[in-house]
Order: sequence, then structure tokens, then C-alpha cells
Amino acid sequence: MTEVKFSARAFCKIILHTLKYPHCAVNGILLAKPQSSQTKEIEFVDAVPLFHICINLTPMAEIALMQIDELASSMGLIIAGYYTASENLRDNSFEKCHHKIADKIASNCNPAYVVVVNNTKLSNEVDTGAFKVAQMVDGNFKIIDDNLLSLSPEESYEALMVLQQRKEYNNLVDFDNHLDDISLDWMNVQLNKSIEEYL
Amino acid sequence: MSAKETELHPLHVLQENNEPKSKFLDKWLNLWLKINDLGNESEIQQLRAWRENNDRKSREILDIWLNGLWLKINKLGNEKYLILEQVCIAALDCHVLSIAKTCIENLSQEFPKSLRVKKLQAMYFEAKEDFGSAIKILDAIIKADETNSPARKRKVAILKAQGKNAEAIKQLTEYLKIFMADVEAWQELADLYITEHDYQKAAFCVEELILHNPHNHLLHQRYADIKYTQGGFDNLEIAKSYYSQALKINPKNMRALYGLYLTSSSLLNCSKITTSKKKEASKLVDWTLKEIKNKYAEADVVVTALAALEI
Repeated sequence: MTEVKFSARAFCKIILHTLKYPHCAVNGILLAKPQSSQTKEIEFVDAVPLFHICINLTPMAEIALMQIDELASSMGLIIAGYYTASENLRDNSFEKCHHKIADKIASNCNPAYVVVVNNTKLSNEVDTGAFKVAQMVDGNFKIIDDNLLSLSPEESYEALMVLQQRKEYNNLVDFDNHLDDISLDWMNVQLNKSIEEYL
Repeated sequence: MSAKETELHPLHVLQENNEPKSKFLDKWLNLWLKINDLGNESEIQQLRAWRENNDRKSREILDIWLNGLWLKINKLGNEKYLILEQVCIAALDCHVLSIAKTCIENLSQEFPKSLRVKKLQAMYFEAKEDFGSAIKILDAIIKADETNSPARKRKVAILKAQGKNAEAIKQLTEYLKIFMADVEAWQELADLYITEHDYQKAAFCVEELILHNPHNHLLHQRYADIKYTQGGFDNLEIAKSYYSQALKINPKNMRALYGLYLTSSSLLNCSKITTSKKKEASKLVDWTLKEIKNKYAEADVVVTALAALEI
């Protein structure tokens, strides 16, 4: 089985995205370093929050993916996964959260991963227990065991607690925010700095 | 203020001039009260603005409430009840049930027979996931007042909360047969159909919305988004027209601009396209790309990722 690691950036941004829009379904993209399919470990180094308004329509997703792909490859990263949190508190299955973007990523990257945020596990002290991760293999989900998930560094969840208290989620920018006001930066350079500060 | 309290007041130490002690303190106390009132006034105005615009600012509303508004609620006159209702809904949204409960108790003391307060009670049970009790109250409201649309809409919301989207759609269509002009409900139905990937029917709902509000660029853009998602030559053609219309109404709509770029470049790849249409589409691609770059230049941001579009 593959071990899955989340960097502080990826972890904090996923959770902050769900906190910024607690009443909406949200989704986003996970970036990782390219590696051969033989290695038994993957680390998501960054996350790009995408949408909260209408996640099931494709045109803006295509625009976002084109731009993210371009930017990621200039940083030596690849699009390796998709994360999502559903609107309904109890819809936490992979099937319910399945999305066209995930298929698209799977056709470009092997293996591709899907991360579902388990809404019922969100609290003031969140760690990887709030994530459900699966590998996409030929359209099927191969669920990865909870104890193979980890944070790197381990203290990331403490940073998240501080970010949460300081309401930093208000400073998170997703692609929808960017389309409303194009001067906002969906790579969240500013927020990345705050995350590193609290580590 | 008693004599002992004045002595304990921190301003006591600051007194250095020759003014009599009591006068000096009075001056400062009055000033402090004024500033505090001003703060209050702006908070109340803020709440009013959120109420009127229907903004979902639950966390912020609750913060204002806990920050001291709850102490002064009796001084607000008739607005008191509106604010209590607003805070109650915000508290339910944030799942702080104790506050919601106090608000409801206050309101039902004042208006024991009000259906509007009963609806809040139903929402309280909804938040507790006691859907049975909630539906009982809602049914009672509908029985008492056939035309009570909020109660019927809550019933749809309950189905949605239970994850029964198909039934929610069924009940919402029943609702729309009676309340045809309810724009909010059409919007919700469109969203539900989109979640269920039934784009054909979602498009129908948005058509209805456009009829109600023909000058809203967001609706034209949403319609085009749906048509593009459906795909195929004919739908792409429709998407192109609606994105163009959205842009005509509001040239600042970035989604429409990007959408127009996408549709025209997908049209170029369609096998069905005629040569004259192909020329038009390739012109559109060039124009939209130029416009997109202009928009970013105006906003003064350099976006390297835009290079992705030029392939």
C-alpha cells in the first residue's frame, strides 16, 4: 500500500477552504512532485482551492486546470489529486463526491488520488483523521488505510489550530474568488507565508 | 455609580488637573458612553444591511451578539424582534443551539401565536436533526395557512438535509406549480438538478429565471455554463450566444469572457462547423484572448499561467 503525506500547505488550505464556506460543497486540486509509479509514497506539497459556487459545471474548471497545469509544471510539480467536501454533512462517500475533474486527472496521471473531507470529523482539532483517501484505478476507488496517512511536518495540525482561531480562512482565495476579482491570487502566496509562520 | 466604584475607576489615577474630581469623571464617562453607543449604532446598521441583502454572515452576526449586543437588546425598540430572529437563524447556522433557544423563547413570549416564530421552532428541531418534530410543526403551519410558502420550502430543505435529493426535487416541482413566481425556488431547483447531473432540466429552470429577470448577466452566464457542460455542436452554439449576451450586459464578467474563449475554441474543433462559422470562431478566440490579457493588465497582475491558453 502507498503512504500518503500532506504538507502543511496542502493540509491547511484544504481545511481552511471548507471552513471558509461551511455551507457549500468545495473542491480543489492537489499538487505533488513527479515520481515513478514504483515508489510506495506520495507527498502532496500544495493544494489549489478551486470552487464553492457551482462545482458541477465544467467550463471554469477547464480554465482553472489549464492554468494550474501550466503553473505547476513551471514549478516542477504535477497535478496528482483532487480534493472535495460535499455540501451535506453526511455525504462523505467517494461515489457521492465523484467528479469529472477526478476522471480527467486520472487520465493524465497514474496513480491519481481522491481526497474526501469527512464533514463529520471536522472540529477545532483536525488532523488527517478528517480525510478519506483513495487511489483511482480504472475508474474504481482503492481506499487507502487511515494509518498510512500522515502530515509532514507532524506539527501542521497545531498551525491549523492557530490559523483557525485567527480566522485566516477569510484570507484564503479560491478560483471562484479570483474570477470575481482577478486581482486576488489563487496560489495564496500570502496565506502560504502565514502558514509557515505558525509552524 | 457609587462612591466606592468611582475610586476604583482607572481614570481616577489620571486626574492631574484642578477640575473637581466628580466633574472630571463625568466628562470622561459621558464620552465613553457616547463612543460605546456609536459602536453599537454601527453594529446595528451592519445587522440591518445584512438582513436587507440576505447576506449569510452567520459567524459575524453571532460575534456581534456575543460582543455585548445581547446585554442591550431591550433598548432597541421594535427592531429588537427582527434582530432576535436574525441572531436565531445565525445561531442555528453555526449550531449554537443554546442561543437559538433563548431567542425563540423571547420571541414566542411576545408573539405566542405567530407562525413565523413557529417556523423558527421547526428550524431548531431541524438543526437538532429531529426531523419528525420539525415536519409536525411545519405541517401544522401549512394547515393553518395554505399560502405559507416558507414552511413548504423548509420541508424541501429537510429532504435535502436527509440526502433525499430526488424527493426534494419532486416536492419542489409541486411547490412551483403553486408558487410559479418564486425566483428563489427556481434557483434552488436548478442547483438541485445540476447536482444530480440532469443538465437538460437545470437549463429549463434557468430559462425560467431569465424570463423573470432578463437583464441579469449572471443568469445568462449560468445558462451558457450549463449548455457548455452538456456539450455537442448545437449546445456550444447556444453557449456562445449566451456568453456573448452576458458580456454585453456586463463587460466585466470574467466567467463569461473565459467561457466565450472556451466555447469558440471548442467550436473550432467540431467536425460539423461550416467554413464561415469557423472564421467567426477563430476571430472570437483571438478577440477574447486579447480581452483577457487586457483585463489582467488593468488589474495590474502578471499571470504566467495565462500562457496555457495560447496553445
